[in-house]
Amino acid sequence: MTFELETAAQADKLRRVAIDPISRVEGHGKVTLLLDEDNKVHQVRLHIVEFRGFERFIQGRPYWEVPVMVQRLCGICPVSHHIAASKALDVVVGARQLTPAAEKIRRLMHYGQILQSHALHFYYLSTPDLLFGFDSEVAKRNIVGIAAAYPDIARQGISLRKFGQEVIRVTAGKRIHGTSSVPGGVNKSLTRDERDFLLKDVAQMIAWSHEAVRIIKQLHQSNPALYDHFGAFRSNFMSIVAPDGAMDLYHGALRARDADGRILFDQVDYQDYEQLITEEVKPWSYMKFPFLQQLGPEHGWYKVGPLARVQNCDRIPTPLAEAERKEFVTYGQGKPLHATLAYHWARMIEMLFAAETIKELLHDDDLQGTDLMRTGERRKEGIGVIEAPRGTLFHHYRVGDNDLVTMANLIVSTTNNNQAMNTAVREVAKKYLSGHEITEGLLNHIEVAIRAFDPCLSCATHALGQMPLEVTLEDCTGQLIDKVTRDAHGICHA
Amino acid sequence: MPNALMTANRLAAPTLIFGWGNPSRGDDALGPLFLERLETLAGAHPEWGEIECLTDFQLQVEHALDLRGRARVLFVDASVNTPAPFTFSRLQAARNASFTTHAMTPEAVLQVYQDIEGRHPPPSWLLSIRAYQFELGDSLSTLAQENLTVALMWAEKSFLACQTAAELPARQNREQFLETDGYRFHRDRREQKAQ
Repeated sequence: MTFELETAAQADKLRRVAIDPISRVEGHGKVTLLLDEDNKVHQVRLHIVEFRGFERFIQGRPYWEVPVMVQRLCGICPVSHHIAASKALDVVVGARQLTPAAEKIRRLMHYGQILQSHALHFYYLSTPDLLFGFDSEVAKRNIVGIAAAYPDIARQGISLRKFGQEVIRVTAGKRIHGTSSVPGGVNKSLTRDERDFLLKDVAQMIAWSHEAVRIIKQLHQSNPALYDHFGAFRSNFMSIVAPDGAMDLYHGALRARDADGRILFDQVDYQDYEQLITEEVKPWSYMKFPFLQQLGPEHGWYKVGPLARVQNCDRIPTPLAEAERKEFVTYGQGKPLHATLAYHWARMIEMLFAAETIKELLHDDDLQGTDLMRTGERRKEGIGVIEAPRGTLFHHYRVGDNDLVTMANLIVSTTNNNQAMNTAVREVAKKYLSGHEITEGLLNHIEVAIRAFDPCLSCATHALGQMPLEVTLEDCTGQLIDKVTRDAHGICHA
Repeated sequence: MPNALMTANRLAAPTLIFGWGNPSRGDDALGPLFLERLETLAGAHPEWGEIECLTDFQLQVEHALDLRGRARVLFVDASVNTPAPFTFSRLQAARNASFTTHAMTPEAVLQVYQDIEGRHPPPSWLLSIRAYQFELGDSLSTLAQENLTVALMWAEKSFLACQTAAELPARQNREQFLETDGYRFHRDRREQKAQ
């Protein structure tokens, strides 16, 4: 299956530009474009040059090591992998239903992760573009620039991320690479001192999260021509939802809607995900392209993440976030929003939901419970799914009788959004690049679109806010016209 | 509690010691190991006052918030660009591009603090311990172990024994320590061994 602008008709005549990634293991972003003699865009590809070695590393390891090992997949959301792996292995140890204490501690950990990751995504990686402008001075387009120009906003963002990290530290044992979630439950509960430590700041975090929604909402309202149309495209949505259709980022069943908001399927047990989703392989990317089997590769690709979740659920079960969701839906005038930059608005609504949920959980005495583990009938296979900050995350394992993992399959959020991100980049390239000379500002337009979905490219390459990224322009004979590269230090080279 | 290493309760102890590095990458573990060993010593030294030890794999923007309410801060890191066994220097806030990488400098962290708090950061120093190897899976090199031991001895006698910034004339302090306290350090020979 090939999409518009995915493959140029004369591609066999074109010279392939080889990129030497800074680090194959940790990921590298690359965008290639092919133009004709009039600089009209004929091909645009976002390549995630990602070595998925983890699925092999895990094979042959004892299953109980996996929830700790897989955290090394990601520097921004290790907790997501920690919990998704634990959920898959809960099934293996026969503990799909955890004790109340264990489930609530994991939920608290997960919503702490959502809070810190969304704060990082919005304040550190996106506000520099949104507040200074896509074409603004490169030197200040970063979180340190935000700290200098908007110290209050920076302080709020940094404090929100820090609070989320503290929730993770208290629940997982460490800010990163925690060890508390294990197959069948957790290995520690919260002390009252730890709970009180978090409680003293949680009201402020809710207030700041609410303020963040106000900021992004105001940006949308002040420039709808940009925010409603930049990188916009129609697609299906997918996420998990609670049994009553409410937003639940920790557990639920799969639901998908089409581009008009009609439900395609609902309450499907994610243990059956292989009957819903197929992954297509394309020769030009290491990353697969998942699609819904019932619609096929042409029409079955979908968005995941905040924009999908906020519009896929029927309600959000906390009051402030629910009021904001309703306003978001009203803004769409009865139709789903497909604007790429609306991801940020939805993301901030979720951050508010996470902050409110953390407060509710902290008031629950089950967090101090001592019944932390469950076991049951041993199984050979388990699938765990959560809504990670950037979208639906699947962990699938098979475990032998000797307790060693024999198969691992991970579908990460970035993979679920692969086609959507490619489409966003193509839309931006068509509108802003076609017929123009490449500039740093153009480069950043492409990056803004990618970043609205997923900053994990930055994360995976160990850069905050500055992806190593290369854009090449070639004419229809394959001749290189222009090339701009931004290295890992954010420095552009023509 | 006097002299408590408050890694758990997050109260702002007057002295913060922040060591960073990846414990799985050979000598990059020097910062975290410095803190680990300091924690074992602290119980016997009530005169050091309250100390909080924090460690992470790398310095990040949000570590600026860890500086709140401190009287002094000591950053501890491994370095290949410093003379053995260690160097000790006063830090000043500085705007640089390190925030775009995973290796944010302590100067940049101080700058973020200054920007978001609207005031000067607490007096801060950097203890750079000479390191030699950083491969994944490496253990701490013999030379780095020796440097760590000497750096800890110096910290006990110098930084932690001083209660005010004025008591810390940085370079002199280090040189005097190496010359007069019996830690004859044969730099040339060690460098040859390292090569």
